[in-house]
Amino acid sequence: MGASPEKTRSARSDDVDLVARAYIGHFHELTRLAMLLMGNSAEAEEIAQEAYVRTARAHRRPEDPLAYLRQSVVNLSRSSLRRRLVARRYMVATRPDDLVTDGPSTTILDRDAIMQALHSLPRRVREVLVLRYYSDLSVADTAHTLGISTGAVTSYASRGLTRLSTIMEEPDA
Amino acid sequence: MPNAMDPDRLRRLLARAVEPLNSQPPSHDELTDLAHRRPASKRLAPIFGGVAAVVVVIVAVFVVFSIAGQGGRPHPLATQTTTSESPTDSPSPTNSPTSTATTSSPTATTSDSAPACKMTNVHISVVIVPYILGHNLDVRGFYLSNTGESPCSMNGYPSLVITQGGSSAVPMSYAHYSASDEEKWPLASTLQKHGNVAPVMSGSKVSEDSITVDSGSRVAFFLLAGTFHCDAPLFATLHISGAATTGSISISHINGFCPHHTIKVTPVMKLGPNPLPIESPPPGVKWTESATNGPTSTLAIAAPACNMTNIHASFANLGESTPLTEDAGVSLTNTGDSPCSLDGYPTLSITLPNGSDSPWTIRHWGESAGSESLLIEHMAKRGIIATTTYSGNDTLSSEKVTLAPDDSALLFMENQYTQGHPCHTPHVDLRGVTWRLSGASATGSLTTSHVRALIDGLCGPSVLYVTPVMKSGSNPLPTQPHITGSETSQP
Repeated sequence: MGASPEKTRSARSDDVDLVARAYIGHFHELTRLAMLLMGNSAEAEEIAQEAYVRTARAHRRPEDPLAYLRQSVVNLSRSSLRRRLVARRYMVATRPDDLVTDGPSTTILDRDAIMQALHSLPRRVREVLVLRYYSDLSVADTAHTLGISTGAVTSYASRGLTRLSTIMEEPDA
Repeated sequence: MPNAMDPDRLRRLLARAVEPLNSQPPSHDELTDLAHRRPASKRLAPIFGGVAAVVVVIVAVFVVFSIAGQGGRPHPLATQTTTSESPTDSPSPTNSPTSTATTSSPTATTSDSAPACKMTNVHISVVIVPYILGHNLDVRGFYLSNTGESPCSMNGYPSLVITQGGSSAVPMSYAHYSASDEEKWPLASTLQKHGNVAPVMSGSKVSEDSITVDSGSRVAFFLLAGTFHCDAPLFATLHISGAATTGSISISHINGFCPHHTIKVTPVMKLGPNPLPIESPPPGVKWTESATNGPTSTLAIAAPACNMTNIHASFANLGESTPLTEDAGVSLTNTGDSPCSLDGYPTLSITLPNGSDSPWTIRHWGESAGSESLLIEHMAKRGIIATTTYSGNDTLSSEKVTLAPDDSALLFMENQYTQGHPCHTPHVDLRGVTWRLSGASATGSLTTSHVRALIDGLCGPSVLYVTPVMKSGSNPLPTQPHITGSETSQP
């Protein structure tokens, strides 16, 4: 009826092997992708590795491990950002003198204009821009990664580029 | 209308924005191993190998002081100039809060001559410090403020006892910061713990601190999270105890920030060698015995079980401000007049019908004490689910969440894995999903018969029915009839 346990284990091992190779081969790309989506590096590595673990433990063998990894990075970054959002909500509710929000952490966030600008964009727009113009994915691949239509990718990218231009006060803006 | 940025320019900017990565990917063998093991232990093994000796030194120093000192002694950490260690193993140690401690003076630990702090004069509040000091550490902790008019000593208070349950291999770091006077960051000790932790981790080292806090000043205790790999469920109970204190602490729990990382803070009173009269508990609160972690016994605050008639369930949403959210859940609000405990409640079970292969992430967010804290529980379920009940018994039911009046606890459901599908919910008809909320210590019935949630919008909105049901068990309650949703998908 089903595959023998030995065969199952062997196939499982092959799957992990494929994912591991994809991860090693694109470690920096995946980490940087998370970095751009998250706005920092330490968490990015965590996310990249978490993406690997989840992909390697996926119930079904991914047809394209790299695409799967990339999607996992996007999803995990999204979740992490969501948690930040929640945290900030509660920070507002917390007494101001209980908060320590300035200092080096703020400096870190301030130091790079493009990162700031990027993270001022709506999440979906940011994801599209990063996937399109950092990961250099095609419109179709970006759409597939994000699970949206190609038309939406084009629209988000257009809006994002325009918005970035405005934010960064380009001379031609 | 402004022009769009040149895509090539954006490419260049993005490339520059990405910091150089010094780290290298793990080896193939390591990754293969990682796929079959708990990632945390693997990932952090080098870190803990590196700081193990340092931690041993810290512990040794604490032990020495705990034996030698009985008050009037300087803060043991004041002499620590090299032992504090950032849990991140950061490449830039000057940014580390603990490494800056090497130059901090122990301003808060000058004397124990002050009378012991009374709990009635100690205010506890939660601190959130995101992305601290460039480490991207999400830090949670709490302040203990002296609200009295004169200095008082927190000698022996608080002791931190962290109980980690489950089978977590997630290491935790505890830092004790004294923020007296001018918020001088930090006088710190960092204790690190790793490995499988099922029973009790004692923070008794912290209890050896002797801290005099001026009126209006405060000390802070921090829990560092974010440097470990968020993998295994982690449950931790943090007991705050004080030999020289009386009264109660107004907050019941705080949390870590890692989604798997739940930290409960259970205020406890310690019966030690210098016991003070135990004051009567505030209305709605009773003292109960709790597990001990040392030679002294402890008392814990426990609110009475929430009466289900006072718990209002409603749809909650923390997703982005779009009509099609990806996060949805149930908010349970204490509508009563006094604090109540959701101990053992809610137990969350989810039934996914029709052979769904969509894995789900269940989060338990709790907020209490004026929304100053979160209690986060993260559980993941993967694989094919065909009319299988996913029970959160092992985790959620073990929580002790005390809700003040009008406070809420939130249960969230999040579809996390969407890979390889044209949309996020390809094979699942969420209209059949049932959430079962049950509570062993609850009575009555939920006032909301079902909650509708929109789960992801890429395939069009789906309707999630939440059907509160009562659990029959050792403390059986009247079983409520299931309320079966009959609505169809709505935009």
